[in-house]
Amino acid sequence: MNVLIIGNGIAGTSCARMLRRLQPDHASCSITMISEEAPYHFSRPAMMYISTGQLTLEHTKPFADASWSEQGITLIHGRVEALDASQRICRLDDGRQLTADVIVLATGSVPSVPTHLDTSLRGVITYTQLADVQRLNDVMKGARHAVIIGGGLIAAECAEIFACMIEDRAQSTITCVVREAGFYGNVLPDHESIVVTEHLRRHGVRVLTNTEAVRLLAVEGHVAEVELSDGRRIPAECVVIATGVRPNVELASKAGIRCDTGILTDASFCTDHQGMMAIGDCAQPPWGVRQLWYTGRQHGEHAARVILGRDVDFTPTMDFNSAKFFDLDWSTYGTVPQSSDAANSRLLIDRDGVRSIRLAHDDSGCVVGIHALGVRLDQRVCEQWVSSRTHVNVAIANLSSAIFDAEFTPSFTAVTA
Amino acid sequence: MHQLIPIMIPKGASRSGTMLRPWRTRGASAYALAMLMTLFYVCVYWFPGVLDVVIRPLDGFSQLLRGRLADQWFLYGTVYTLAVLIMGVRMLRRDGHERYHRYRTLVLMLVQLVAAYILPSMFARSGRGEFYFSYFWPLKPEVMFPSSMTQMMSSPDALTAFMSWWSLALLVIATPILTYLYGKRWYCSWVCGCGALAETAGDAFRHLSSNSDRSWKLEQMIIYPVFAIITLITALLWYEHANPNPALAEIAASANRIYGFVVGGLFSGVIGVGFYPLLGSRVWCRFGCPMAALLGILQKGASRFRIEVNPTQCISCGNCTTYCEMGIDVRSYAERGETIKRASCVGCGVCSSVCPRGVLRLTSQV
Repeated sequence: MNVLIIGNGIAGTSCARMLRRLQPDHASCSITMISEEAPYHFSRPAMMYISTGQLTLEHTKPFADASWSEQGITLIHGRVEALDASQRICRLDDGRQLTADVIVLATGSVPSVPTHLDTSLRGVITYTQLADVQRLNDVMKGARHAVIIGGGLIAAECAEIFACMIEDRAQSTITCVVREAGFYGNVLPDHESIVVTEHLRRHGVRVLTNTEAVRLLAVEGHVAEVELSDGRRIPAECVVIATGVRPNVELASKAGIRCDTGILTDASFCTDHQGMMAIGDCAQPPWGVRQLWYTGRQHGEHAARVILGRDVDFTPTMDFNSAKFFDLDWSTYGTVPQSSDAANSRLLIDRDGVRSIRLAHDDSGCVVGIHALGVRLDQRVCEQWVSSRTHVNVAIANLSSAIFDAEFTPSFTAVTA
Repeated sequence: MHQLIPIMIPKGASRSGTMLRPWRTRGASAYALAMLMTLFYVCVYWFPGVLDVVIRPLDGFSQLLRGRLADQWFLYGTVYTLAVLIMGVRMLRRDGHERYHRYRTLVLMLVQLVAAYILPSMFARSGRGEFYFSYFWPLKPEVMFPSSMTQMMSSPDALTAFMSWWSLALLVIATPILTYLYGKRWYCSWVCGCGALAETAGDAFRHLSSNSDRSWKLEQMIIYPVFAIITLITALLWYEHANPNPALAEIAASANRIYGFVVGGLFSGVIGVGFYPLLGSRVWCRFGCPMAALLGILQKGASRFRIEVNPTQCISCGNCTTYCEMGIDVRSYAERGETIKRASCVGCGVCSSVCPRGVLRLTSQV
């Protein structure tokens, strides 16, 4: 069998590695992975650490370069120009044509930029691809006024990068333009969102909420100001547009594969074309688009089992995610609606006023989701609570069993509201 | 403590900028620094006369502290202690907002200052040997050699006798118990002077430790034989002590001299510290220290200590592996959700601190 994977992000890489693990015989399963972005797989969430000089690209590669050929996985650093979905032929930018029994599309996401923001101006970038590390580095040079448009995780990463790299410069400003009432306000309930917003402010980031960027103003082709929906203009020598990402369906839709927001697949990640699959950020299975690191990994590993005929339908596991806002840890397990309030969740706030744990529950009081801010939790315990429908009172009584903080960390002591 | 030492509010990732500085990434300045530090060790060990210009000004201070003139060892101890204290403040400013690092660093600074500098000086002042409360066999093997041990234990001076019993108790009682309870970190990153220097002055270079599989193999190939050799030398000396034999005594003595030169001088000093800017801060602790070998065996075989892993939260960013001073590929465990139990882990806790996803936790809870 001959498998061709387009994209070497976490989804494509997980697929390739799992295929080889399940089918160690190189001859009976040839695996090729193509990437335009980078010759070798790297950890995309670690991009920000390359930008802050905490890591180099080498450090962010989970697998040694030599391991790919040892595993019998052929890597091609190039671009797929065109795809014939019925014949399963790829035409590469160097003119090569590759035919495969199975083609897996793992093309990831592209930035979703509002059309009224002109990204062609110098000093304006997005931050999702490896090349953006260099771009960010270039636009940061000598800049004192940085503006981030967006209030999500990429925006938080960029705020941290700017805080590390330009905050020391005289009269520098780092501004986040956030549409919602608080940072990450489309995911975090109000209380958590306010705490995160304040935390960013403490680190020197000016967070402007309830406002949107309507226009980028330029001087001689270089961005100079950002105009906000309330009419204010803020100085901007470099701008990162971090307003989210959308599935990268360009190649698939041009090839005639059925797409909606993402590339439409069934529960086993097969598209409407025989032998064509889609996984990770770009895929839209029946349960919808999921664009997280761990979903990419799960999709990839499952697709490998499907390809080898060892599995059929994928069952999405419980959601979880984690991130860091500067030094403030955040993690979530299960489902916590943004609109969580006293009626459908219990919010425990530590006496320090920053750390909090929210346990969302259903009408019968069973835990359905958990948010932890400033506290690290044990994933196993949290998932156990959600999956076994533990009552929220029982969970609170056993809260200490879920704490995963470093030793000597002041114990989480909830002050009842 | 907040009032005494301004603890920095970290600008996000506390180790940002590391890879942008030539002196921390094996640039020309790193080589220059390594040469300078190596040269200092060479002078201290073998050409102390060269250092006379810096030793003499310390005479007054040495008189005050030890009741005798300064020598190269007093200079070395002073420079070493100052390095731990000054760079300890840097460490506190950088990582002190986390209590684990704050306590650990303060204890290391205190132990170095009191148990490895002031008290030995006072011992010397009172005409006794320069005893150390914080070092014992096999890191300081001579305390268990028959010549010094029998002499000390039967000494009419109560303090001298006590020191001998103290060293023995640390080895036989404290080491297995504390290592069982807390892992080798109780010594390597809370008490030991080599650890103190590595965690303070060496912190800037921790990411230079190689994390390849080859280094791991090399580590095992060197550290256990070093431990075996010093055990053998000690056993030989005791055997000879029980069955006097001049020829055997000569063999054991020369073996000890060679060990002292190669392991005590070249390895722990010149390479172990002099090469910080090139090989990272724990070369000695990882490849050469017989104490670390012994503690590692106990940690692997009879200890509650481990690093627990949140099973699927790892994003493979590589921060943990990069900043592991012992060159452990922490990420490879974290990705698999596998609890980490490695002989070499000194429990510094930095992998857990730099993890952006809350994946790692050091623990010795049952």
